[in-house]
Amino acid sequence: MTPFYFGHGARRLFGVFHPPDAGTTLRAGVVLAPPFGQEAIRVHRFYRLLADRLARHGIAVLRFDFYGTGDSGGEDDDADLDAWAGDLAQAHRELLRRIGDRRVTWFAARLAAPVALRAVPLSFPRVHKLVLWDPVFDGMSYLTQLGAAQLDELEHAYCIPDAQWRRDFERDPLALSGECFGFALPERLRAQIQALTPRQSASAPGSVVSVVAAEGDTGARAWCEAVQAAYPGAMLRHSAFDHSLIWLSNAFPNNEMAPAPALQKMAAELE
Amino acid sequence: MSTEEESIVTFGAGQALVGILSQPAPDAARQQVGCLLLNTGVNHRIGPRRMNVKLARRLAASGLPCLRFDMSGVGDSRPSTGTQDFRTQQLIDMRAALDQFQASTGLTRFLVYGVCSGAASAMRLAVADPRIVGALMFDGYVFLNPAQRVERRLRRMLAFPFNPSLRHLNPAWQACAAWLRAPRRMLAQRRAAPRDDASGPGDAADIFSADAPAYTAQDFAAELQLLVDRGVDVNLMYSAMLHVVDRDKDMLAQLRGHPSLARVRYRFWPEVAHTVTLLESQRLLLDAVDDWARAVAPPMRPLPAPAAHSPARAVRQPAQV
Repeated sequence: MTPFYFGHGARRLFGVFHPPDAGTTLRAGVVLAPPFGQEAIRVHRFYRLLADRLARHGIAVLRFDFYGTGDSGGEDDDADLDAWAGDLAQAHRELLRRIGDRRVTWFAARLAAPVALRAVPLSFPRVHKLVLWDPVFDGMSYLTQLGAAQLDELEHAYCIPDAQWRRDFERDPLALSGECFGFALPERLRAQIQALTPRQSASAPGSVVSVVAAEGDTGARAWCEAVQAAYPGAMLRHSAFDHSLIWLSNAFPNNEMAPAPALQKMAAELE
Repeated sequence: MSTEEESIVTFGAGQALVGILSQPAPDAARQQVGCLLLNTGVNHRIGPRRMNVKLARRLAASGLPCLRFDMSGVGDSRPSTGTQDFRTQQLIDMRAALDQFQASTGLTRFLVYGVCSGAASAMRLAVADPRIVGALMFDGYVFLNPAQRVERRLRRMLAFPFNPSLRHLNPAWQACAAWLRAPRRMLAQRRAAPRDDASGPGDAADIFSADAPAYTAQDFAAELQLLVDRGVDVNLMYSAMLHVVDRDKDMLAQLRGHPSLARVRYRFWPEVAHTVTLLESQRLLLDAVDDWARAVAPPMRPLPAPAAHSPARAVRQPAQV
């Protein structure tokens, strides 16, 4: 694999290119778009193993960090779903530049899913397929999850936690969602997330879309229903899939980083 | 600092290790030391909460080059093909990182920064490599005595009635509250549930236990003595995870009276969590590390351009790992 920088001007992005293994024939390309904040840290190893696995089967993979995240330039305050859509389109072009005219699939987990949908019109040649894993289509629910995770983390991180944190959270589930696991949610990003609803986000990107979400993920189900209602011809598939990866957590014993069933499932979606 | 001063480096046996070198701007004054930032647990080189990125950029803006990298098998570095044990391999990796750092910058003296398990790694590197002139260990080795453990428990008990977080974290309280809310349902659940004799997650303090059973307070004191005698600036920082108060270097109470303790920097942070989760506490820690690094570094003077020749690769163009 080859770590490198790409992008233009001051918007410098960090990426890792996984060429197909020696002896295999290049079949296609995949861009792995990371989720937000702690979830991106949590899934880093999963993405690397997934990329390695795909490369063994002749699929070139590009992993990258959105601007303001990971090893890319920028800070927390640069978080912006629209700008990240531009980053994903840039990664798409970079992958095509490396592999030539091949079918490219995007894999987007969590908050990267709505980013990917925004980026589709920016992709040329058009992305062939989107695989959206546990996508965030219900922004308020997601912010509540971030607030709850922040509270849980703080309560475990102090010998005697500040009693006000839990009182604030119980009064307003969004009270602690201004930052989560050490990552800021600047006002623009919060507003963009709050605006996410299954119906509002419904769009038929003109590419094949595979939504892989937990059985109880009502947001993902509602989004799929909204798309099918609005665009009967949409090439959309929804599959229920539960796994043991805890998105908003620190790594600790008995908390898997790359559950084998999830790796198998996602590799199958992408091959 | 702009990201134009960051470059990818690959080094170590077979170029298996991946790191990011952050350098001061070309026209900026440079310190005479660099700082090596270590992995914490299985987190990749950006560090928990992306703190290693923030710290590297902050220190580079203060004139200190920084190298953050992934040890063998972590993040984007390939697993080792050697047969050494885990800790020996880590030491090999860290020394390879210093070799690379030296080749890329021309510097010969370095600071090392580590959090939690990274602090233990920092200690090992500082002991083993004379190029280390300063070591900052955040929530590293802890040697409390029984009195502090009792005091901690008493303080939590006293706070319990008034603190909803402590009640929420207490399994017995949660079970009791659930019984009171719905006794029939709880009874049914208990009958249906298989008996679970497995022990639950351990005390949070377990993660601070010495990482090898044989490593005792006496071993730590001996290594601390070795470092201070060598002139290494040792900075021990502790978060509010293990205790509420710290009167006299309580986190190292078992070493009390040891002469090395008087020669190290020590700070207990009642407002900073182990994982530096709050952004405000990140700012405090970044300020403190920056202050320390600049205090340890000798006065700045312009440095010659970075060495042109490098045994490893410092790349702006792609490098195969």
